Amino acid sequence: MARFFKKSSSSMELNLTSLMDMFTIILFFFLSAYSFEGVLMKLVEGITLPEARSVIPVAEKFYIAVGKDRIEISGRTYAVTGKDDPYILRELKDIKQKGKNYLVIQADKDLPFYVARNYIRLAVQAGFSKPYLAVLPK
Amino acid sequence: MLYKRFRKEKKKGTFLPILIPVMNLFLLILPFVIQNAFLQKIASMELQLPSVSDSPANAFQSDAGRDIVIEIKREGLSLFLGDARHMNVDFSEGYEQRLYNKLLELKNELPKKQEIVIKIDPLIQYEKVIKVIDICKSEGKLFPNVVYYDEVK
Repeated sequence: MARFFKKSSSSMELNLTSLMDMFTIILFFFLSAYSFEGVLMKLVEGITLPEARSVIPVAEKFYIAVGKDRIEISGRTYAVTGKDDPYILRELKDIKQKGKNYLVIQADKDLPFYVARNYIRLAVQAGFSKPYLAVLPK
Repeated sequence: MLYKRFRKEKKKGTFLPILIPVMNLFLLILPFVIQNAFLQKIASMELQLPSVSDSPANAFQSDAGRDIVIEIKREGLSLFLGDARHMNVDFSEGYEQRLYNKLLELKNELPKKQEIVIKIDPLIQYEKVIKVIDICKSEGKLFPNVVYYDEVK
């Protein structure tokens, strides 16, 4: 009987080595993901950003993503056809009313400029004085 | 009996040490995959819009008639200094270097100039626009203030 209990207690040992390994990996992951300046912004799926060298860090998380088939503003999706433009304008005005004056425009690199221009105009109409264009640093 | 017990323990020990490094390896790869998939570090590029102080009425405050304007069209770029056309650059190979050299010349000519105005053809590819703005700024060495001139027709 005593032998039986002894055996079960030995199987409850915690393997510290693999636990430490796991924590080390998680630590490196957080360190590499941590940005010392600016904020990390979500890259909207399906959008390929252009690359540039003359960049500044993203200061705030608010964005409007202009894709080939849809527009996304902080998680909400709209049609790219133009029929949702009044709603997009309202949403941008809401962001502006929160006291924000920083909006990043994520536009797909293959789009013709007039598509991005339409949303630059809407951002200006909503009260954002400077459009910031999202790019990937080279 | 005693021999059997030892043999059993030996079996357990040989199985686990193989599994742990494999699991570690997967855990090591996983964060990199997640990072590359979702957390690409996005940066931004400032694009200025014309302000009231840039209007012709206030033009005497800056280099009047010495505005540098780039027109980006489908066939290429046109560079203007004031009203005079300075040069044309077509989108053939190496246009980035030719544009950079020309802008560097202008910067040497007008060292205090910080602004450059860009007019953009609506049908041009967005990536090309970003490339031209990037060359104009050249990490702050040439003309850091790129002003977008929006023509409403």
